[in-house]
Amino acid sequence: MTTQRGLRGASALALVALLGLAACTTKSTEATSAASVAISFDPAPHVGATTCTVKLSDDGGAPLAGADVSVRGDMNHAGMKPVLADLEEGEPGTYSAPFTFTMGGDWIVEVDGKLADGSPVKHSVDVRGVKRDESGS
Amino acid sequence: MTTDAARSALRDPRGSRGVDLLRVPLLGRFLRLRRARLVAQTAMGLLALLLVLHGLLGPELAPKNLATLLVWVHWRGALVFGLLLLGNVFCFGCPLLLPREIARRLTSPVRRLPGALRNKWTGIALLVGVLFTYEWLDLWASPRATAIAILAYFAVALLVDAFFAGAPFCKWICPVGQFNFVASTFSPFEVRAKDRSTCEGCATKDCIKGRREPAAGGEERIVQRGCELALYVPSKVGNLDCTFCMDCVHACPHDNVEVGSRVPADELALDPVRSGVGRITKRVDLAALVVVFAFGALLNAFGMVGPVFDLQRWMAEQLGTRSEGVVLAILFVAALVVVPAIVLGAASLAVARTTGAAPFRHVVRFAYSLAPIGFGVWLAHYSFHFLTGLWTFVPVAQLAARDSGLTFLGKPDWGMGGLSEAAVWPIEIGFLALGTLGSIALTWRLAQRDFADAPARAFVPWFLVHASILGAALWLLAQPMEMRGTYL
Repeated sequence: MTTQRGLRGASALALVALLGLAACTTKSTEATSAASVAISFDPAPHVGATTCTVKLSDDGGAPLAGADVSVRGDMNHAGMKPVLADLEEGEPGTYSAPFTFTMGGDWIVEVDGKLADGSPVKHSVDVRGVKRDESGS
Repeated sequence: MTTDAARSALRDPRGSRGVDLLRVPLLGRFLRLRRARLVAQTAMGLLALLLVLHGLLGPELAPKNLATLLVWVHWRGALVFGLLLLGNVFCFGCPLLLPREIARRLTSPVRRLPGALRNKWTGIALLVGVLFTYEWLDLWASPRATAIAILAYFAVALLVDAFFAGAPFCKWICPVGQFNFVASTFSPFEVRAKDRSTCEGCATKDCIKGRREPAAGGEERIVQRGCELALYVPSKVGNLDCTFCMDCVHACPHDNVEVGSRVPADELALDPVRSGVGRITKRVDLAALVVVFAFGALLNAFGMVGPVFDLQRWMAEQLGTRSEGVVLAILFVAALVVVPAIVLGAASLAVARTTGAAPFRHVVRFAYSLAPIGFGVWLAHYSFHFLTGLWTFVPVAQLAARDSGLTFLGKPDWGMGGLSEAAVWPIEIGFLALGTLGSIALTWRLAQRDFADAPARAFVPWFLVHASILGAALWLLAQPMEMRGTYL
């Protein structure tokens, strides 16, 4: 009987420890670049086509030209195909491409790329409450 | 082999009717293996371990993480499809029992779960708790919370079954199990005796007591356990409380147990004394579980459409709160208590007025008619996520492998999705129609059973209940989907 109690106690302790460990586990954060990243959509995010524009600048606000930039949009619910777009540079430091929000809801848009000097660019932004246009567009 | 010959090969000559899954090539052979369940549980256990690790250590973004993707999209979809096409297959392969099986090699609890807990109320409360937590903590958007939920589930299952004998976690506690029990009433297969006369001549009753062999010291040891959920095969009716564990199949010394085909939901029109269950018309807890199952299906789909977010925001403004928990709690009470009380109360009062039936007793007898339409709503909802995201696990698995230094799966192919929403829409409608027809047919059977002289008097009010649920489900599914975790 003592052995059984010991086993039960040990299993309970092991489980509490396991859950505690899970709760204390720290996540590694993705590296972010030194570049300043600004994302905008025109028209404003809605279900349908927009143009995604990313502006990259340095600490002094000068545009960072010659970067290789892509964006990826995911819904916060798993199971949806992401929207991917490779951006093209227009004015120096300004990159844009068509981007379609395929469903209403909360989105996370991630910017990924490399600056001209090879340093990485990583940035993400929450785009919440994307709605279907009343016009149906 | 001719078609007739093929059909007859799937039927045991002693079988009561239809197809016996135990005689289906490969599948039947697998199910008959003593270690079949262990194999399935081990595979699911390893998958659960992978999900926990990826949930805790993998990408934080839900669509890139196996924990959120496989649990909330693929597992839920596979679960309802398994129930629709076969039976309670998830309980068969449930990995939660693996730690319990290991622990039971070391210790054998003798204490039974306290009598006050041997009913479905705890399971109902936990089922509601799971649905509430899912919405409140946005489990679907959090790999880490999903991983912790899996661990917590394992912990509770192990603790309950480490302290109490039998399978109390499966029978009374497990919220997914309670869901499966109700949904499996709509399944096309059930575990049952092939030939009851064989059971009448059986002296050992191994199917419930377990098969024993003499052991040292003149004692006996169980070499194959019987049903831990107290379902005695000769008087077992339908799938309620059956985990498809196959223990009775392995224990029966007469090879007299089959997994036979049947008419889905037909068991709910019957009211014999069921082994381990009793008469379902006297089980208020079981009837309440069916009500929560049906209205919970609407509630779970409710949180994914724009007008509901507007309603929640309006409620928060009226209440002057920024707490999503408060707003959700009100919605849950409304959807799972107030609305069912009004709708089912109105139906039973209408029946009582024309037939003289006692309203509460009548509700308990007819609540079971909600099971098929409830399952139809769950199917429609989960099939949407499952089918539209069918292949999304491929790039996520590729990403997980690559992040782990394994390159053999290649570069993630993010173009892999699933069926289009337009293609899934008719499937959703088909599931709703299937469930509704099931509920209507079942209601007619119940009305004939209880009011043979004038069945229409009971049928019409309950038909209106099912029509209302169908209308609500159609409205929900017709709304543009808005997957959101925030509205305040």
